[in-house]
Amino acid sequence: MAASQSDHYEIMAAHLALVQGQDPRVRTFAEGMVRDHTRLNEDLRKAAIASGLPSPSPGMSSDQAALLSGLQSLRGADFDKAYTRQQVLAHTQAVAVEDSFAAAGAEANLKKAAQSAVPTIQDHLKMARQLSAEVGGS
Amino acid sequence: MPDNENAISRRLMVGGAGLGLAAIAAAAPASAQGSTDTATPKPLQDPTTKYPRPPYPRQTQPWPGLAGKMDPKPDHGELSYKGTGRLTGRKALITGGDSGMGRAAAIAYAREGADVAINYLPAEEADAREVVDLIRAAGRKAVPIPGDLRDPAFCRRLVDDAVRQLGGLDILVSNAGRQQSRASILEVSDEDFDATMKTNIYAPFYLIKAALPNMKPGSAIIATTSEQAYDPSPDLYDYAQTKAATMNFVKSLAKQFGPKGIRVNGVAPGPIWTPLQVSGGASEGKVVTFGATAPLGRAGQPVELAGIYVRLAEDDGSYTTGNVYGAGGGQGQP
Repeated sequence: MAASQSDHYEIMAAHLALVQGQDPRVRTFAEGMVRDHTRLNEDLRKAAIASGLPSPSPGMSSDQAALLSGLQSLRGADFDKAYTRQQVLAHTQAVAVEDSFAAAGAEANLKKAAQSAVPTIQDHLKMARQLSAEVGGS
Repeated sequence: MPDNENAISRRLMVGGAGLGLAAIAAAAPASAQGSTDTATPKPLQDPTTKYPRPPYPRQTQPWPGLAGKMDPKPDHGELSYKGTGRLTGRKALITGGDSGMGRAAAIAYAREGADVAINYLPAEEADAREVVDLIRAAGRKAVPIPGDLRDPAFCRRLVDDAVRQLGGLDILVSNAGRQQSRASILEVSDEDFDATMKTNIYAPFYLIKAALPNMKPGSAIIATTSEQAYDPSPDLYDYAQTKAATMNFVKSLAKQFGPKGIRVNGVAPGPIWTPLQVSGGASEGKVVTFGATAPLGRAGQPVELAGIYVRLAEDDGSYTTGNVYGAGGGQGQP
């Protein structure tokens, strides 16, 4: 499902940033992404199980795979810019996904998980925009 | 994962428990005629969880790198590959046979009944020793011939030595490669470019030319190309074009050698967990997230290509020539 895919992409991209990122603010941001998206994905998994649904399969969308692949080839300042740009886009999209599920999700546990995820994702988007202003990733 | 012997053994191997060679040799089939039990159903295994998934530990080794020092250790089929006589009596030379796909092919070939010569760089002796022991444990002849393939005279000597010690040659696996990630062409030095071309394009030319006079109809040549041949990464400018060249010569030589009855094919891996990657072939970050871009969500292990190298060498594959077989976890071409 879309939220789980997003978590997976965020975690992998952040691991990449922790190694390839140049600016310490990028790495700090990435540490937060690993922490938060691991927790969010765990919450989602628990919610699915509580509803008797299978855990979401681990994996990202093919678009996200293409984004990650692009990042894997970059280093230094180029990496920082590309990562930051991707993070603004990805979290803009993630906010929309969580919002719509939080409002109209058919399944109670998953809906609740989405509702509690919304503030975190909105926070991420704010941080990503700020990082973009600092590091220049637009 | 089903809690059978293979699964436990595989976990130990990739967990880096460092099994001694004696234990590995004991666990391996004593002869190339492995189990032909067709009564016990083999359980289905989920390919996404069969092997370790990223993130992998951050690591780097000096070129060319050792499989024995990777974390997790790659699985080349040491404990799992069982032969059934598909290559009995064949004589193979494999370049880059110390680690990676070359090692997986060497182990598989030996367990399928072939005698195997392996070439590798002297710095890779520790890995090569293990492969030699595994070939011998399978009851076959092992011929280690270290040396640098960038030297044309060595390439010719390598083939001569292999033919002499094996008593012939009917499989050539041109697999050794040099891969170094450089974010920009501006960072590719003249020496870098030269080294990549000499290892990946010139050496196969010298080797195939030297091998051909020894190869009778029914022989097979297999070259390792890559998904990079079809959709190159921006940081592999020199390496990727050599893989496109390899894919191309597989097809030209298949046409040239077809009437001679010698088949020429290629293998195109996606992201595979080998020393090539951790010794500069991939950026450190790419290593940590290796295979995350593939639909199967993880890096491939060398053993997962062993069967391809066997298939392209065996007589049963007699109509396959000029073809490239891929194993990319769902990403890339072919």
